[in-house]
Amino acid sequence: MIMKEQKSSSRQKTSLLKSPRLPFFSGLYFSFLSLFLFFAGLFLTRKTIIKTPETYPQQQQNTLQSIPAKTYVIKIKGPSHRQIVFCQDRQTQDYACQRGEGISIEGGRSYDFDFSGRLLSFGDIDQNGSVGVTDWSLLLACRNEDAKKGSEAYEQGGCKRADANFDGEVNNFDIDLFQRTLSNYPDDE
Amino acid sequence: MTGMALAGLVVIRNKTEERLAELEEEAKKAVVVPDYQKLARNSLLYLKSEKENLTVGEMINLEVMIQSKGETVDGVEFVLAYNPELINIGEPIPGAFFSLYPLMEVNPDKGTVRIIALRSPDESNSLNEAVLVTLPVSVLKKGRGEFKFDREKSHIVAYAGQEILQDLGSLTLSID
Repeated sequence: MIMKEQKSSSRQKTSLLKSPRLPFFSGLYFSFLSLFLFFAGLFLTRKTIIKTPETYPQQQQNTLQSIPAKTYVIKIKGPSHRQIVFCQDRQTQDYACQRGEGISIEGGRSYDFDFSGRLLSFGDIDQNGSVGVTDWSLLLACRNEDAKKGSEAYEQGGCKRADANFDGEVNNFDIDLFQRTLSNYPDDE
Repeated sequence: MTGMALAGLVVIRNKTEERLAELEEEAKKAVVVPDYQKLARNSLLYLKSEKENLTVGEMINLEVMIQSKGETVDGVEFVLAYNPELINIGEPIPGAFFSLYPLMEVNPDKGTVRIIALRSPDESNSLNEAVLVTLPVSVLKKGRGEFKFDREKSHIVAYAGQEILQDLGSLTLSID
C-alpha cells in the first residue's frame, strides 16, 4: 500500500511538472480531495456511532495496523461490568494473570482469540470502575420501580444497564448476579 | 483550496470528537427512575472508641458508626487506613442494622480496612444512628495510632444512587 502511494505521488509530480495549466489542475485536485475527505470522514464518524457497546457483540473485529510486535494484555469492560484483563487466549474463569504475562501480537497480522471462558462480572452500572453501593442503590431503585422492557425507567431512565441477564426486566436474578460480583472482587482489574 | 481541505479535516475531527464525548457522557449518565427525589447530604461516618489512651498489648473494640437523619440508606462502603506497625485489627464484626456484608476485608500489608454493607432488597428501615461494624484492635507498639477514612472510597448511598455522605470523622489513639 505504501509502495502504491509512493508511485502515484511520483507520477503526479511528473505530470504536474509537464503541465502548463498547473494552478487550475492542482486547485481542482485539492477541491476533490477535500470533498472526498469530508464525506469519508462523515462516513467513518457514522461507523463509530454504530459501534457502541449497546450491541453486545459476541464476536468483534478490531484492526490495529501499526502496533509494535510485543506482548500485550487485552482489557475488556462491558456496559455494566467489571473490567477484566486477558493475558492468554482461551483464558479460564479462575486464571490470574502474572506480572509481565501477555499475548504476543504484531501489527498487520490477523488473530482469533477466544475469551468466552472468562465471563465478565456484572455490577458496574454507573461505570466508575468499581462495583459498590452506588450500583446497588441504582439496582434496588430499578427493581423497586419494576423496570421492564418498554417502561420509562428501563428505556429512558437507564435501568436497562441494571438488567444483568438481559431478560427484559430488573429483578432478583440481577440482584443475585450483583451480589456474586461483590463477594468476589468488586474493582476493575 | 488547501484551506478547504484543512477545514474538511477539522470538521471531521470535531464531529468524531463530539460523538465520542457524547458516547462517554452516555456511559456516565446516571440511572434515573421516574419519581426521582433529590436527597440532602446529611449523613456521617465516624469512629467511637472506649478509650483514646492505650498501652502496648491492650485490646479494645473500635466502632465504626453511621449517622443519618432518618433516611432509608441503601448501602455504605468505606476504606479506613491505619498503621499496621502500631496496630493489629482482627476480624470485623458486622453491626445489626444492615443485613448484607458482602465485603469485609482487613489488609495488614496495606494498612486498610474495607467494608461494604447493604440493606436487604426487602427491607426499608430508616436509619438514625447505628454501629456499622466493630473492629477488634490490639496495640503492638508505642506511638500515635491514626485511623483515617479515604474520602474518595467512602460512600453512604440512598435512593437511586444518591451520595448522602456529608462528613467523615478520623480518630487518633495515643499509645504509651
